Amino acid sequence: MSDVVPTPPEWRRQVEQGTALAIGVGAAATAGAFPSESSAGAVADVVLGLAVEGQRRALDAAETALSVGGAVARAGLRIGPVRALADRASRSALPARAHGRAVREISGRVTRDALPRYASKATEAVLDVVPVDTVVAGVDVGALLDRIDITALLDRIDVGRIVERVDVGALVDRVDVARIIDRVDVGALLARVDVQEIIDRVDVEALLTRIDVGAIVDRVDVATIIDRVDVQAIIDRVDIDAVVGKVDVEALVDRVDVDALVERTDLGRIVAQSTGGVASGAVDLVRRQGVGLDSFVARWAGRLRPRALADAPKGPPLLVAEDS
Amino acid sequence: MKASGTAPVSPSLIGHYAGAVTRLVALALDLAITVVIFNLAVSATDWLLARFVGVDVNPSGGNPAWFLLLLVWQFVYFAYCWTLSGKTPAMALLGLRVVRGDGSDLDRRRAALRALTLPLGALIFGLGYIGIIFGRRRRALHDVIADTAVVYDFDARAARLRFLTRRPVHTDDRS
Repeated sequence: MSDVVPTPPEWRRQVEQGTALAIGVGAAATAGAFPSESSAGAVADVVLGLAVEGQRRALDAAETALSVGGAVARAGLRIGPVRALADRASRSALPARAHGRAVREISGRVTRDALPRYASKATEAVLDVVPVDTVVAGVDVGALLDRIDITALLDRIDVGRIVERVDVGALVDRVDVARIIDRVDVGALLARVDVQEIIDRVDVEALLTRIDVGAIVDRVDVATIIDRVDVQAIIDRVDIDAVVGKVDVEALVDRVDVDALVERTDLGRIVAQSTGGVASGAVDLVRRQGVGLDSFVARWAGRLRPRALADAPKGPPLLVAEDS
Repeated sequence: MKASGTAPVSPSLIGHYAGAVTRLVALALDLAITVVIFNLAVSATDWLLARFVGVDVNPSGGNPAWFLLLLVWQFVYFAYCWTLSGKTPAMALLGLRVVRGDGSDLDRRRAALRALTLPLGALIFGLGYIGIIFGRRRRALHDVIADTAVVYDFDARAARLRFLTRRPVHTDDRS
């Protein structure tokens, strides 16, 4: 024959759970303040034990009274006058019941409105007394991470929405680029770069087609560049002898059209003039004197016929331009 | 050029209409050249005929045939020279050249016509040469008839440079 443990009613279990929760919160709040080995701790334990025992006994009595009262009530209701009296009492209690319902609804609404504020304060109070560091130290982060399905977590993250909400400008403003660069080991970074592979992956033709060479040239201040060029230094570095040594003078002379050169430069006339010597000097003197006398006569003729000779042509149209 | 009262020479006069003085001097020189050559030729011919044939042509006897022969010679002289290069020896000396009215080279027909009409200006008491001084294109009567013009044909700028290079440098010039 086994012992049958009666199941406590719902209301009693809720009360006991509330009491246990209150005791747990109180114990956490007073942790360290009342060590069990101390006198205060012993007194607190005694008080707590008596309170719990008192509550148990009170609940037993209440449960017994409710059980007995319920049985008596059910039996009384079988009697006509009693039932009539109960119905009458029930009807008399209807206004009070309606009033109570209204109060309960209003209270519930007020509680829902105020609960977040009180919950926040309660949270702050709890955080003030709870040793967070101790709690965090006790957390096995590795085990916690092992239990997290990172892939599923990332699938649930809307990265685009996060990026849209990020103020990239403000973020960049807060970045100390110089400090980051100072911390970068450029040598090591370059050592890890496969330059040849990068070059192989670059489509140089496509890159060049996208370059507006004209715009680049327009932005170049050629005068400034030339001013910065030390032409004399460049000339000093040129080995003229070596340059001349590379020139095939014979081939160069062969490419010269001597006849055309003579025609364009009137070389024969220059030679004749240069070899004329004293004779050409005398001729020049005669010609210049003659031209001077011509001009003298023409000036006097112009005074006699100013209108006719003012705009007279200087020579035949095929030999002298109109504006000369 | 202040002493001679002449104007400064322009940098280059090639192609400009030539003035009256140079043209007159050139014409005078050419006439002198033709006469001298003619006299030398006639004298040589007279001497050769007298020496080897025994004929005395007596060129100084006032025979108009000699004068006509001189005119023919002068016509040949001018026409040939102008056809050949547009200039006579005297014109070459003074830097002149005969061209067509538009500036192109002279052809044989125009050269002959110009040589043939050259004396007209003198035959009307020199009035045929007035156009050289007062004409807009400085053309004489024979120029108008033959549609020709006389232009300078030398580089005055080069002549000026040659003159400067030959001029001796004196101490006074440096100061």
